[in-house]
Amino acid sequence: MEKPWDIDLQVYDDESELLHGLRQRERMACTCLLKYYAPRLLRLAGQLMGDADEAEDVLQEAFIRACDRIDSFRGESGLGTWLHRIVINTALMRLRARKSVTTDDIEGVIADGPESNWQSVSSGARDPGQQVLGAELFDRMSAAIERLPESLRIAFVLRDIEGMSTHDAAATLGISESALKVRLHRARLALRKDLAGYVDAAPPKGTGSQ
Amino acid sequence: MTGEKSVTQKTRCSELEALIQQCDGDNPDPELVEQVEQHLEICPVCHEAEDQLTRAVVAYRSVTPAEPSASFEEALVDRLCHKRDPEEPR
Repeated sequence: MEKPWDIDLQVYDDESELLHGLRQRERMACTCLLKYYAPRLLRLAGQLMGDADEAEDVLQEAFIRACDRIDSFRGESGLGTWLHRIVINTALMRLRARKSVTTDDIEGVIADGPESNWQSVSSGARDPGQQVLGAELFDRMSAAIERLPESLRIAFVLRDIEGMSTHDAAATLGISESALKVRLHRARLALRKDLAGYVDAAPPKGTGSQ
Repeated sequence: MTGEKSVTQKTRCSELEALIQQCDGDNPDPELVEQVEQHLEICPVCHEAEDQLTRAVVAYRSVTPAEPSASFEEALVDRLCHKRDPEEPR
């Protein structure tokens, strides 16, 4: 069945045309923006928030905020980079409002290994790409990331998943680069323990689809 | 001793765990952080474990994310098309 949002994403020749459409609040432009960026940004929001419902709230708030500010977008970075930043900031604002990000809950993870009652954000529909990684490892990775204490999870997602530099990730979180590195090393150590016996199944570097 | 390798859990390294435990999470001593990074470079157990984790992360990143639900997308497009009134509170 054809869905009303089944559209040709190439309707806009380049980003400037899409931006023009967004500034006019054209339905097609808004739909293209969502179709193109929402999947990746929803996954980012889920990784940061550790909760699927909150991830959708973050995504919605971030897109509304972006469209409200689209007139001030100067194109100094790409639209995707700009949207990523808005999603990260929106998620961090929500997390800070929920509770301050502290290291109080970190020590137990390092010492004892994480316990989980999380429901995986990413355990829904699968696409063929997931077959590359293997469903079991994908689910375990998703769950392991979600099990990380909040401050560690955010550091890991920004630095290792999103690929931000240490400097940028530290600046985003308002912490020193040394503090960012400690959180990152703690996160990696926790993941090493949590994924012991499973990471061997990961394919060699460079076999991904991106 | 660097990189004590357990038979049952070859990814565990007591030396790394001890070093990281010593780091203050909010205001760590940069020299201690440097020691952690030096350890990761020279310890064979940590080197292998970090390499395995990196490969898993690379593979994880390559997975195409699932799309949001259709109802969510439609509702959000409806909201985005609505031009905000400047008088409207954010």
